[in-house]
Amino acid sequence: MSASVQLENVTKEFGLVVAVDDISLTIEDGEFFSLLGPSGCGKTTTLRLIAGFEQPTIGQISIMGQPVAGVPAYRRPVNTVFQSYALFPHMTVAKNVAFGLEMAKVEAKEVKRRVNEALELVQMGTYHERKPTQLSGGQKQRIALARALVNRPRVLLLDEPLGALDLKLRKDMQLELKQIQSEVGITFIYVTHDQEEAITMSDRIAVMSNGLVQQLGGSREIYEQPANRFVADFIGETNFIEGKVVEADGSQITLESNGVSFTGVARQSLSAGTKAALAIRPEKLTLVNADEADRSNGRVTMNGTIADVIYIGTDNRYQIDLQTGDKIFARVQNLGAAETKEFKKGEAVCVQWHPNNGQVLTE
Amino acid sequence: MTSAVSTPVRHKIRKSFNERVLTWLAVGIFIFLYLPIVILIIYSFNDSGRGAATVWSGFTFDWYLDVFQDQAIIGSLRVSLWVAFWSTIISTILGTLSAIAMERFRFWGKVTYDAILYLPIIIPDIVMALSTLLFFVVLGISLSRYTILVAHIAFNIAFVAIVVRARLADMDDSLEEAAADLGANPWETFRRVTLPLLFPGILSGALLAFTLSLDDFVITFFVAGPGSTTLPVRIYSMIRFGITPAINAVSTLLFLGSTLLVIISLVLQRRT
Repeated sequence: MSASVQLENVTKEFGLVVAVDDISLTIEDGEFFSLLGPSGCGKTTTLRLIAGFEQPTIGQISIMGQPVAGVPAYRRPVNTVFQSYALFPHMTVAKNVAFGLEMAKVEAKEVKRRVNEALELVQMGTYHERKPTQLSGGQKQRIALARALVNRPRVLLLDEPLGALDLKLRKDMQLELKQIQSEVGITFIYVTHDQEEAITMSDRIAVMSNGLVQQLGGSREIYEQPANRFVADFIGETNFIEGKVVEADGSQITLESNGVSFTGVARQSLSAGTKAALAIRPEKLTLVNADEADRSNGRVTMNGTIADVIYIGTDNRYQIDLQTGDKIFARVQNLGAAETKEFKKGEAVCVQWHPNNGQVLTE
Repeated sequence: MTSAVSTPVRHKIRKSFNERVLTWLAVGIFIFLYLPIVILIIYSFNDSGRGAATVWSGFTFDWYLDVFQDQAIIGSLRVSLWVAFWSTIISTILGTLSAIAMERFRFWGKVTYDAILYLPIIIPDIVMALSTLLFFVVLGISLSRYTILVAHIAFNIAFVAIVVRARLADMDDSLEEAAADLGANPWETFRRVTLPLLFPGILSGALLAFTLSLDDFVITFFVAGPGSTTLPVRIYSMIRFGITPAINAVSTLLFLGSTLLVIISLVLQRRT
């Protein structure tokens, strides 16, 4: 695989605001790559730098090995699907899709053939003569996709393309986008603030905040081994148990808090005395009666009290006051009344988890 | 159960009551606005001879024949149309370019330019008129139809710029980015996306400019040279010799002309 888009030490400043702060990324050819982060994290600016709508203050961007400094947007081999779709309201669907080909001076017959092909690809083959105002949100989204793909760009940039759709449609389109991407086989760079969307669709994800890439990795890696507290907190739900490092044995770290010691794993070496937190996902926890707990099974065990129970159908969500003073959530799968014990508010419980599931993170 | 049935019914009654009040209010406003014009039009057919124009004395088309045979009126109509036409063309181009510059670019002195651009709308006509006259006098330019033209362009630019800029501000910026993204250079983007989308705004700006130019009295009165009397100035000078149905007839024609322009602009806007 070769690099499709490469960013080298790219910084973008708007006046005093640093929107993108010294980012280096290599996006492989044919990859589904997501830029994920909260609003204002710099993900859209990064996309706009690649598209050519903004020029970097410092640093270099290359597309298919060619540096694109000073190359205007209209000469870059990339196409964009905009968050607002940006369909031309005065043109029909067919004219919208044909726009890029006409700009490239493609022969009229060929334009017609490729427009048909692109509209078939997004299942909008019968909508040629409609105006954008006569389309629903989902249909506009498909046309915007067809208008970009018809030019056969080397890289497709997508700026929160599903952001305006309702949940059900979004789920369907996620699968469809992924399918289209594998069909056409081009690089997708996908900007989203929806972590579930990014995890479902991406080959790799760059989690961004404050203009920095906080972590770069596959879906599983980012969820299971978050690099820092921001990533752990932003991706899914996470409990933090605050403590101090008392012992470090390679990646195995023992923390201590309120006289309770507990172990987890860390990605970097930590010295004793460092303040750190153990991050543990709510679904990785098991709850047992306080007096029935097996404390010799190699799992971390902590005492706590049920502070609240929320029934959410698939799971029971327990809020637990731990003996360390931290408040945590546990999700227990609802296997039915016969198999799942439901704890009551105020009940004393033991919370257990496997030490490998606890990630020790510093600030 | 009863409340579930009665609620929608009551809602319907209240809605229709509101509708009726609003309808009558609208009718009242229309009467207030248009009754004087209707009276003007009726009296333009008043067969009153040279006597009291305000007393109805029978129906006649004579005043219209008079108007079309009156070389002074036809001459000033020609001047009015000439000034309106050229000031519309020039101010529409300059006003549109100003609007685009103000909305799309950042440049030195933009805030000041912004304020100055809209000044002609706020400044009283009489001040505009005096200052424009003074300007021509100081520069030693003799008054003619060209001085009227320059004065009209000056105030029309502001109105065109406001109308076009409102349209631009409503336009999604990403449309132009999308065009660039699809390979259109700045000129193609302007020609194929920006301009077509702005067109209704430009057209209504142009029609506004044309109407304002045709209507203007105060500024024209000050900067008009000998032999370059516009229609409103002609009507004013005719009134000084007494109100005749001929004035009503000229005014009616002016009114019909403006109405026709507005209808054309509405039809064109609906089509785009």
